Amino acid sequence: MVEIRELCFSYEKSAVLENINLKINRGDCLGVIGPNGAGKTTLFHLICGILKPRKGSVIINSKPVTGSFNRDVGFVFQNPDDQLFNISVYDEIAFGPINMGYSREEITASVHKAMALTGTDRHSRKPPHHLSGGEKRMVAIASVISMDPEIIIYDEPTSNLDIRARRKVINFINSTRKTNIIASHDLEFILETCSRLLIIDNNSIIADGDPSKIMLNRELMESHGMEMPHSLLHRMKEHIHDTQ
Amino acid sequence: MITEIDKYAAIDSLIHRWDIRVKIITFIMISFIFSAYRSLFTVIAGFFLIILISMLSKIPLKFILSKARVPMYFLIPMMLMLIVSSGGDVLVSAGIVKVYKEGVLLSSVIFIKSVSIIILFNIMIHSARFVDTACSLKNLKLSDNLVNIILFSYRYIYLFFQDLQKMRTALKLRGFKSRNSMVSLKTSAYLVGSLLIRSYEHTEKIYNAMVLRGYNGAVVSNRVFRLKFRDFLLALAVTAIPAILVYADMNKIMIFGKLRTW
Amino acid sequence: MHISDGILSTSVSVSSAAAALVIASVTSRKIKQEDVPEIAVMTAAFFVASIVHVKVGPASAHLVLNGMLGVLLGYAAFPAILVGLLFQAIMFQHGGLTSLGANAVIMGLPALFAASFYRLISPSSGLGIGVVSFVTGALPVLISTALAAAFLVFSGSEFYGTAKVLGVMHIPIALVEGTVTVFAVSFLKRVRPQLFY
Repeated sequence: MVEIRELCFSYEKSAVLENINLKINRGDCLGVIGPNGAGKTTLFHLICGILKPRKGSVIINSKPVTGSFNRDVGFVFQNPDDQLFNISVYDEIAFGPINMGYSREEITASVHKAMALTGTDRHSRKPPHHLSGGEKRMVAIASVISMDPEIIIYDEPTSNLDIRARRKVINFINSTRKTNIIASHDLEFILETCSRLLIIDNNSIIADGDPSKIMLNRELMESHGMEMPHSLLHRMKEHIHDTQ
Repeated sequence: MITEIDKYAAIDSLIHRWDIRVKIITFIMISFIFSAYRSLFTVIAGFFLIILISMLSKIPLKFILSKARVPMYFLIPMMLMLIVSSGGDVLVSAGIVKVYKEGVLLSSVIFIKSVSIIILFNIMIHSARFVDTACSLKNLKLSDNLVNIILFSYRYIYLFFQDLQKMRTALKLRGFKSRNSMVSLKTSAYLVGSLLIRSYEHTEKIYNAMVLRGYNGAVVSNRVFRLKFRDFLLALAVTAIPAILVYADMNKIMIFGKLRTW
Repeated sequence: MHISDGILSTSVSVSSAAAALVIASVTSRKIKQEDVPEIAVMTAAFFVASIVHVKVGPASAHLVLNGMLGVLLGYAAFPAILVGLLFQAIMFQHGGLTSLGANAVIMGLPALFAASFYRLISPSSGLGIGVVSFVTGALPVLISTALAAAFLVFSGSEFYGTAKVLGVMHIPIALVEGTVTVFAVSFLKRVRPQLFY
């Protein structure tokens, strides 16, 4: 589905990513964690084609990413305000389908489907600017899924959300059959949604595997500036017990 | 962009040590003196003088000269129009297009003048911290409100610029391309509107945060401005040659490349 | 319609700089101190917004927005434009000290016109909001162009041809600017009506 080969990227003289090799399969829900500035967002921008790699390539569905608009990849920004600018929620969700040249019926159908999936239908006439943080987040997600991309990238989808809104996002992500790539500092959230986890630090991939197994490795987590999530503490005790 | 502003402010040079107020007044004077030059000889002589001032400031010449690149985009079309439309003696003619001698001379004079004035401005801006330059405007009796607008907006431009960049990326990722269409104009208008709203929402937070930190309408620079005799001496020295040049120019002492007066 | 340094004659650039200084002082002294942060933030926002490019036929032009500045900031639009031009000169190398005053007058006076048109003339004229916003967007661009052309012609008869080309070039830009203003005003009225006061 997504294949990243020997990918390198740098801003001016400082390297951000070095020699990244990664394969993401259809239906994967991939969590990406790592300290701020580790290169997560840069990796996402390379996958979307906003940035051009200095070396290496990103191949999606056996086509290399060229830097122009790619309908296979959707991107949900960390801050919904970066993404929402239309006069109504309906127009916001219809914006992508219109740009993709859908017919009127297709636009209406895709908007309604996206609104139903995200529970945003009751806001359809309101300006997105009038909504709460959690509602804005769901509209931002709806505005991406209305374009029906195969891969959706979420950058910190639970930041600034209250518990109820966070739960909505978790339920939504767990209900989709898409290929998801999620960056987050919210490790409990990753545990609940992801089937695979990457740690990115010092410009490269440090770990790749099962989320709870990686997070159970306290030494690894702490050496990259992260803490083990509380929900894993009891499991860790069992783990120690087993090995003894 | 904005990160470049104070890049060379910490250099120790004659120009950097100059009292900022005297420097601003002097540079304004020289700039306007420059705009009065009419002959090719005077502008070239003046240009070298400005290069000399630039070298005195110890700011890399390459950096200062690079600041004249963008204005070329405005200047070159203007020059081309002048060359073919100024009237006067025809130098070359090809069909309906005529190249006029006056146009060629005038546009060369304008070109060198323009580059010189822009270089001067950049020496002025880059030879002090921007905040100090702005605060010294207050000492020059510019209205406090105007200077405060400069200082506050300076803080927020970079932030809003990043907002705009992100929003443009988001548009691109949803398949938007600028076209000659109503929908495209509407999208641009909404983009502008959203940017204004986001910025406006900052206002209240900013004001509260400032009042909480004791803001009462006055911005205080911690730099003490003290005039010395050598500040005036430098002003006199730097203005003298351009002034002599303009005198010579006006009295047709150097006739080389003399233009019709306007 | 940005006029570069070295083009205008000394008398035109000195007198327009003096005019800009006087107008800027008068208008900025009228601003209430507690409004300064808001005006500064909007100055920064408009400065950034004017980076947005739109297609005008085969070329692309950045937005002028001086009509909208007038509508939203009132007389504070003039200092806002002066400061915006200063930052354009610093960050995008758009010019030096001799053109600052002239460009402030070229851009700022029409903004003041837009402010009074929107507030005083339009409510009594019985025109719809769409027409009013279109005029407040498009007309300032035309006035700016006329001012720029006048400054050029006052500077020398050699610029007559240039001024004419400049005038013709800005007609489509004015139409685009008017259209953008219609959309932007209706957007802001719906989303944040408190911006208009």
